[in-house]
Amino acid sequence: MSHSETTDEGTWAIAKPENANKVFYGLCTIAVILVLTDLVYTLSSRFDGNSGHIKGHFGFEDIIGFHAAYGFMAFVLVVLSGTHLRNILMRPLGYYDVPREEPHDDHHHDDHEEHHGDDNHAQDHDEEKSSQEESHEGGAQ
Amino acid sequence: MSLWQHLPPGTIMMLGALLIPLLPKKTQGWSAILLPVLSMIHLLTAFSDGFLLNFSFMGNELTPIRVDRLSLIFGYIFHIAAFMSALYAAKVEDPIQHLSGQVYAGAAIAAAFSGDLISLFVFWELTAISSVFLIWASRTEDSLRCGVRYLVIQVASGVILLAGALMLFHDKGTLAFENFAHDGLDTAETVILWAFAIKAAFPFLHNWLQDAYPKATFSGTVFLSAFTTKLAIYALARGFAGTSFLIPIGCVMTIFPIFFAVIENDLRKVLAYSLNNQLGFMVVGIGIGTPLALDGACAHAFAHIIYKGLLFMSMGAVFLRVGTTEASELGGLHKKMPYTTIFCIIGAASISAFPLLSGFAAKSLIASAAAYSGLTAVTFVLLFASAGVMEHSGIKIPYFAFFAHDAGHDVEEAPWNMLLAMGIAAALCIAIGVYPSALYSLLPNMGIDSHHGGEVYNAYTFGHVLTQFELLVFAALAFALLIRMKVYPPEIRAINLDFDWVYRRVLPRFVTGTLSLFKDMVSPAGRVLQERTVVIREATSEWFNEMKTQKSVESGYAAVWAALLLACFMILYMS
Repeated sequence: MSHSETTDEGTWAIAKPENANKVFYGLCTIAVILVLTDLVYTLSSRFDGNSGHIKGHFGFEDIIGFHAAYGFMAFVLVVLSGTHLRNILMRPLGYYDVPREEPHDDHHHDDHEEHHGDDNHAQDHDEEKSSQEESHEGGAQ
Repeated sequence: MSLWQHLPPGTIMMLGALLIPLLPKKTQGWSAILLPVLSMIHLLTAFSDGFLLNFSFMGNELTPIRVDRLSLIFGYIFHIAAFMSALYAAKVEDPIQHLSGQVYAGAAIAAAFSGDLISLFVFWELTAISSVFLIWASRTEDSLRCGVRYLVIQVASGVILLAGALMLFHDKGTLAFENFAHDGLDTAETVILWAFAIKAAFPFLHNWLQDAYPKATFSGTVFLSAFTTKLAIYALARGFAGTSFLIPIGCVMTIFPIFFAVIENDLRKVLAYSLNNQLGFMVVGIGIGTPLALDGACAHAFAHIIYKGLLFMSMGAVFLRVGTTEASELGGLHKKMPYTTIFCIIGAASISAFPLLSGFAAKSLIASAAAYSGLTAVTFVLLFASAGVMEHSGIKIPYFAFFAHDAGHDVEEAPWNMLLAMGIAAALCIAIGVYPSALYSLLPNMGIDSHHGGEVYNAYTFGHVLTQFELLVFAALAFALLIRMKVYPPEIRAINLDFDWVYRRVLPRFVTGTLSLFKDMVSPAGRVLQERTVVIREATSEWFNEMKTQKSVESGYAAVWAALLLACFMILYMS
């Protein structure tokens, strides 16, 4: 994401482009501290003779850094699958818009006329060819 | 028994709302704030735990008012939500929104105190009929169509509920709204469950939510986010606690909206998906059905109404100022709307369940209840869902609206009343997170943790706080990495197909396609039908245009009349 126009006053320190690295490495530091804390806490509990569950109800929750790894992987999985989901689900704006013309009583699936060629947003799958007026819903109140 | 004890809680709001249009325009919104306050006083002074109002109606025992701990906690939070929403909407000069907002909230409150299925049905339908005006009040072609879809689905839920109630009455001779799950579900009870499932936005029944909420007015969505779905959660908790197949349904609900939320561009629609995902947590809690799990579902509903309201308020402020909530058109707003940004971040951190905020205090009960019941897979699902919540609500909402690339909108901060409403909500998020025992003391089973010697549940063990921080911080780290590596999917203005594709695209095409096959045969009948349709369409658009220009009050009264008519029909039907 570019931060080209953030010269105005009022920009928060964390949002300034020159601080982007600081924010990122700050986050990394916190992450490392958390895992180290987990390490120390889990080991010291074991060392104190606590053989039961330390952090949760299940055995797997006591694995050092389990939640860290799980949270990281779940997040990446969700985001990356989004890209693929778009290939299947994305349609141009106005996809559901009802054509403004007269009620269409003979709208056969195989009449290939009037194909508007402005669907640069998404792969419009074969038979869908509604009138694609880019109606921009929801104007200002 | 005093007169006040004959009025179901929430009635003051419903009746008082009818006076709003009579007031001068400038004062309408402000007087609407009074109604939840008066109604709350009514609830606190006239009723106490264990109160019942029974009366015999054509030989049937009806219980229009039943006060117990389960109904009380929903009664409290509905009042709080109505107050915050009214404060948020106070400067809106549109009587129909104040009227329908208060009737809607009052009906939801009255429904939560209904002890029999017929009273529940009346208020259930009234929430549907009154709330649709919050969508139509956007006064766009799109919102009109969407409102009709919403109304059809919501009223259908009520009709199914009535059918189930009558079947139950036929089978068992009772209309009492109790837990139906004790000895398996028979047909009548299953029908009632379907009615609840529609309003609770179960998978495949969910699309009305994502369809309608983003199309309501900026303040209408705040109202909508609080009541309908949480009333359904209340009804499920009352009627179907411990119905084990709700657990997998709830798990699906926590997961699938996450993926849609990632690719959705309209941030209010992202919030609607997020709402759906949050309902999943509550449904899981209800399905587990242990006292702690039920407490968890109620606590989550309570906390959720506040932080979800807060998030919708912040996006409403953005919509009011910028005119859109599409992520691709936003960015950098923290410079212009710093307070809104801070409140939004508090809401986002609350829903993500950061320790010391309300989501953590509430969600932990459900997670612990699942663990105590030995539900390993459910625990994995809920953890996954938590990371997903962090993605769409914790990061995506504040990041794309207020940070990301600067879209250069030169706008003002939100009006003070909206900031105040957001501030109250944010303060409540923090208060519940810091001092959860106050919330736990209101829960049906007082948050008692039988696994720990019957003490009040403690979310703040060192191990729990640590693991939660690990989950969230590493999820945030993943986001930062994906952004730096430029693999985070860009925001694109588009429509993403969901299940509504079936009834908005496939079904109409199928019907027109089938009809065209029989065109010659049915053309005379078709012509008549078409003429009728045109007449109805013209009448509707005439009414809608009138509403557009005059903001007519009559349509609000029409809602009330429609409910009264429904009641009359019902009486006729029952006798």
